[in-house]
Amino acid sequence: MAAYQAGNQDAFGELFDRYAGRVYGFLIRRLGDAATAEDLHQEAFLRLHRARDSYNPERPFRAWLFAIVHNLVNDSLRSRRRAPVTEPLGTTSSPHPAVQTDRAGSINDQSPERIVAARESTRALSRALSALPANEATVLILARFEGLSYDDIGSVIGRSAAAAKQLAYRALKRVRSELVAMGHGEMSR
Amino acid sequence: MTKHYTTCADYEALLMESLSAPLDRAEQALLTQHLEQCPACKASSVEVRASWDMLDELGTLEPRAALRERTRTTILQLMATEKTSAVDRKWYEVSREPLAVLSALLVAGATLSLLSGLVWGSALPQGHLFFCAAMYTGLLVGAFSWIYSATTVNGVHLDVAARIGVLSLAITVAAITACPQFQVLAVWDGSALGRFLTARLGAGGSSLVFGFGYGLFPGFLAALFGGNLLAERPLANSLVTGAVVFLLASPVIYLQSAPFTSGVVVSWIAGTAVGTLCGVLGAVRVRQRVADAAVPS
Repeated sequence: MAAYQAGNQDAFGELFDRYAGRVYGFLIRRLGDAATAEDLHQEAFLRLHRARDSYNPERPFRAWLFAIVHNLVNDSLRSRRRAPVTEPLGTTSSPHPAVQTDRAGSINDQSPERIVAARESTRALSRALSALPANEATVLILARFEGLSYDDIGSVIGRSAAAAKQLAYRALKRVRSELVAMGHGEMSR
Repeated sequence: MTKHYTTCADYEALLMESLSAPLDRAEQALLTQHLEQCPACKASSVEVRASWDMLDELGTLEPRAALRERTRTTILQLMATEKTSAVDRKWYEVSREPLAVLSALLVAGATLSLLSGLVWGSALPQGHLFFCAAMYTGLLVGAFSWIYSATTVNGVHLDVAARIGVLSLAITVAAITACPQFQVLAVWDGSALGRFLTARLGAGGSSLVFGFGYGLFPGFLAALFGGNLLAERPLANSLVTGAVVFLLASPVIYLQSAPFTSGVVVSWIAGTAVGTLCGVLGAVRVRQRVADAAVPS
C-alpha cells in the first residue's frame, strides 16, 4: 500500500488483483443487481484511489477498503431511492450473471430438476441478502464471505464489535424469515 | 481468558463468533450449556446456523474479465495522468487556478502590510519580536503552501501543501499563545492597511475586518487539510474539521481578544467558520475537478 501511495503502478496492480474479486463479490451481494455492481466496481476503486493518502497503515487494509465500498453502496442506494424506480432490486432474471464458481461446478452433475431448484434457491438467498438493512447486510457479508473479524467489521460500519455481532445475528434471522416467506423455508444443506 | 456471559444477547454474540472461528473449549462449553438450558436461544441458534450454512450456496463471485480490465485501466491511466501533471506543471502555471492566485495574493498582501506595521509603526517591546517573526513565518509558509498546492493540484502534492499550511497555522498559534502580551491587533493598527481601514471605517470597522480575515486564514487551511478525508464522509469530516479549527483557534481568540469588544470576538469566530466552509467546499471541488478531468469517459 505504501508503494501504491507513492504512485507505483505495479503496487496498484498487485493490490487490484488481490481485491478486485472481493470488491465485486461484496457489491453484487449487497445490491443483488449485476449491472449496478459493475458500475460501482470502477467507482469503488476510484474512491480508493482518491482516498489513498488518508489510509492509516495501522488499520487493517481490508477494513479500510470495505468501509469505502460500504459508503459507496449506501450513497448509490440513497441516490437510487431519490431517482424514479424502474425495476425493484432483486427482480432481475439473473442477479449473478458474473462468473460464479464453487457451487456452479457441483450442480452440473445433477438432474435438470435439481439444477433448477438449486438456481431458484440461490436466487432467493441472493434476494434475501440484498433486501437486508444496509448495516446488517454489510456485517453479514463481511463476516460470512470475507472472514473479517467483528472488530474490523465494527470499524467498517462505525460501530462496536459487539454491535456488529448483534447485527449479524439479526441479519441471519431475517434471511431465514425472508426465505420462509418466499417459500424456501425448508432449504437446508 | 474467558469473558463473562450473563444474558442471552451475550450468548448470541458468542454464537456468532463460533460461526466464524472455533471457540476455545471453555467458551464452547459455556455456549453449549446455555443452549441446553434456554429453549428460545436453542431454537434461534438452529435457524441462525442454518442461514449461515445456506449462504455457502452463493459461492464465490468473480467479475468478468472485461470489467476487471476496464477498472484496472481506468486507475492506471489516472495514475499516469497524475504523474505527468505533477511533473509538468511549473510554478508560473499557477494562473490556471484563480482561487489559489487570489488567496496567495491576499495572504502575501496582508503579511507585507502587517510586517510594515511591525517595522515602522509598532512600539512593541524587543522581546516580542521573536514571536512576531514566528508568526510571520507561519503566514508566509501558509501563502507559499497555497501557491504550491495549486501548481500540483493533480498530484499528491495537494495534500503535502495543505499539511505545510497547517504547520504554518500551528507555528502561528504557538507563537501567539506563547506570548499573550503580544497583541496582534496592535500590530494591525500600526500597519499600513490597518491605518488605511481605520481612516475609512473607524477603529471598530478595521478590527472587524482584521478579525474576520484572521479567522478565515486558519479555517481555510485546516479545512483544506481535511479535504483528504472529506471525499469519503463529507458531513462527518466537515464537523471534525470545524471542531479542530475551533480548538486550534480558541486559545488565540481568547488570548488576543480578552481586552477587546465582543464584536471583535464574534467577527473572529465568524471568520473561522466562513474560512472552514470555504476550505471544505474548495477541497471537495478541487478533488472533484481533478477526478473529472483525469477519468476517461
